[in-house]
Amino acid sequence: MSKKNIVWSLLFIIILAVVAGFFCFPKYLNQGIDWANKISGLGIYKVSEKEFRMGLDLKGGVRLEYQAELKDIKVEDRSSAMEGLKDVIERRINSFGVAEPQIIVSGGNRLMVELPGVENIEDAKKWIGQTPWLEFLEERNASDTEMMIAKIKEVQAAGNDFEKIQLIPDWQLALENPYYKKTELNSRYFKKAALNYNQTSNDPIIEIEFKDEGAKLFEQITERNIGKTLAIMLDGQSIIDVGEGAIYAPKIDEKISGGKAVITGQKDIKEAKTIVLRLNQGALPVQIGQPISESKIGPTLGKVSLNDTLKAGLLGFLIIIIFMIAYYRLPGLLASLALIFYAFLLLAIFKLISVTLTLAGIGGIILSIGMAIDANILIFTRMNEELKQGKSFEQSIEEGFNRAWPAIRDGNATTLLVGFILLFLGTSFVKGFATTLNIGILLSMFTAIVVTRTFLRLFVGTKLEKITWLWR
Amino acid sequence: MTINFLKYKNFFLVFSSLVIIVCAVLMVIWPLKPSIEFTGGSVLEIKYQDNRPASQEVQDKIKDLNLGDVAIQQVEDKGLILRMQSTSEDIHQKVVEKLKETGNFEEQSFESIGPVVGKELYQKTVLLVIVSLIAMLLYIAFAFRNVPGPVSPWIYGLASFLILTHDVVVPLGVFSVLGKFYGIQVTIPIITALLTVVGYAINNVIVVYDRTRENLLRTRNINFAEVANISINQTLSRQINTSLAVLFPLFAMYFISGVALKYFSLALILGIITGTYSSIFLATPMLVAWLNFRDGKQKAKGNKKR
Repeated sequence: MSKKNIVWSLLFIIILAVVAGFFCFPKYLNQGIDWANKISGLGIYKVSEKEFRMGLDLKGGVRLEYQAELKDIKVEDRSSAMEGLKDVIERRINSFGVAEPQIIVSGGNRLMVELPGVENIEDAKKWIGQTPWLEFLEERNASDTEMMIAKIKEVQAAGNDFEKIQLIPDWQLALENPYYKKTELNSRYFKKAALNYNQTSNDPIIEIEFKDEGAKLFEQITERNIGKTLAIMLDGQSIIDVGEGAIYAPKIDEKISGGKAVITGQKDIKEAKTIVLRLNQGALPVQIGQPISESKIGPTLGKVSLNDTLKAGLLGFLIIIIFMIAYYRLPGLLASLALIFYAFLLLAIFKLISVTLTLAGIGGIILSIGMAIDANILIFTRMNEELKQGKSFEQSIEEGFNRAWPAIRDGNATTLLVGFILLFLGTSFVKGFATTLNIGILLSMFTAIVVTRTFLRLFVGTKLEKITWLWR
Repeated sequence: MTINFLKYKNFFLVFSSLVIIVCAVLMVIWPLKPSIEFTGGSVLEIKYQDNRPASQEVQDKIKDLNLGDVAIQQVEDKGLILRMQSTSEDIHQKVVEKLKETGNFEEQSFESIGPVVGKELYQKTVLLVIVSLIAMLLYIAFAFRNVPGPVSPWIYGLASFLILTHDVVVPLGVFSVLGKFYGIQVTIPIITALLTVVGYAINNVIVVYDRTRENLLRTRNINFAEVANISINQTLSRQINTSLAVLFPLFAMYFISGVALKYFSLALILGIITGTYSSIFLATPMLVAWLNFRDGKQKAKGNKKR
């Protein structure tokens, strides 16, 4: 390799390291940008301070696993029913303001819900617990609405004092929606919804269908409400978000008999799809019942685990570096630099593709560091042998790499093989471990082959090359 | 300097066979304790602010709740871990309430797993172990398909398999003792650690076999035992240094981190030390011993014919 190419690849490595480093710790870069902006007056943009994604065991929280009852649901409808269930639960949890909840459907009928930062299992179960419930509401008459708004104002004026509120006559009215009141029509009578398109305009059309009894109820409701709107709610919220406090409510144009109707005028296809999905959730209520497994990790335990593990990782890292330099001298130092580069790049990748870091994952990282060092050790041992045989420095480097390669390849390939089996068959703990291990192994081959090699080649033809005690 | 590792090969082979037998016997008389992840059940971990009560006091407090067998383990200075059958959230709250009478504590974690999930996970884990072992065997046989010399690729594969078994059985034996005397359970993290040990072990074995293959290709005429011994010597520093490099962070993890990773790192430490030993004293010597055995048999056959 020519000298010029070596310099180019060194430059590439340094740039990659700097970018990765700032990506891991953007705070420092942003401080630098602040400083530069102050001095030069240029408006340089700051980089986003994205956080690492932490698992429950490091952050604390509640995990619940449910088994849905799918017996009454046709086989072909099951996966969409599970998707619907996931959507319902996501909506409920979001309305309680849990940050970054994770909801995963697995094994056909399992639903895993992870709620970071939540401390009470009972609360979490209440949020998730019920079966989706669809309701159709008709407009109140104007005087009712006026009365109710007044009532709400009265209650609001009482502030948070519950005793005072209770003194207001009919105060419970304030809890209801002032514009709409419930009809008898609900989940029980709803059959299904489907999405269709207008032949000419291509606008989405939502087709809804009620069961036999529902058809009669729907007929009565539409008859008495012609020209008014019919609100649709799921779990006590508007079926789709239509702005602050408002409820999705299509207008009734005529009396509808036979239990079939269409909703037109929805332009956004994505929104129309969501409405159909949610209508069907109400039609196919999936029972989830009690969780089959539940766990809770207190916030302090998570923090302690994270600190301890990080401390252990750093300490181990330091000892490795001391050991490598003591045993392998200058190549050991180069390998340590490559290792630091490796650590930054690994963390940057985890951040970039949002790998959830768990205790198991950190275990995987620490092991992959071992694998990265192993490749270097294999190479240096080979290099030393070649040097001892009296080969030139340059030849020894190249031979060392070539001869060490089959062992590095086979060793990493088998570990990767196990890693992938773990990834596909494992549970969430095992998956966390396998994900970081696999990414680590792939990256370690890159650092050993490209980075360490470039560092070593830099010394070809320099004076340092001749000082043999540095090299073995 | 070349050390003759083959001189005492019979000693090491017999010694390791004995170790395997002892570990196997230990596992039969003191069966491994699967954690609730595999059997279903509940675990409550608490940490007292002041002094923790004696286990018996805790047992007496919760006796009225009819929880069946409750195992109580003390951790660190002030912690307690309670293991019981799978309970509802309702019972969990009652237990916490009762325990509060013994002193103020913080609830660190609570986990409850139904028996169905446990059984499923157990089956999944068994499948996982079998699939990974078979995959590695096939890989070795494939990677060494062109190896020259008197030993066939399948023998390399078989020897690797025996070494993997050895490297996993030894930590398992230790955990059966730990289970008996300290109530340590085999958890998912420990199974993961052992699968990683398998990965490392195979890595070590590949390094020395790869060297043997290379030396056989380079020098066709030297006898196999001699080539094998040279290969062990040439890979010796790598085997030790790499193991050290992995052991440093593991020891740090063992001593610093909490219960969650402690036994995970212990399983790895045991497995990696065992794996380093077996890659030096067992992997290649086993091949030589097999060769001697086969040649001896052939000679005996030849003698009979004559």
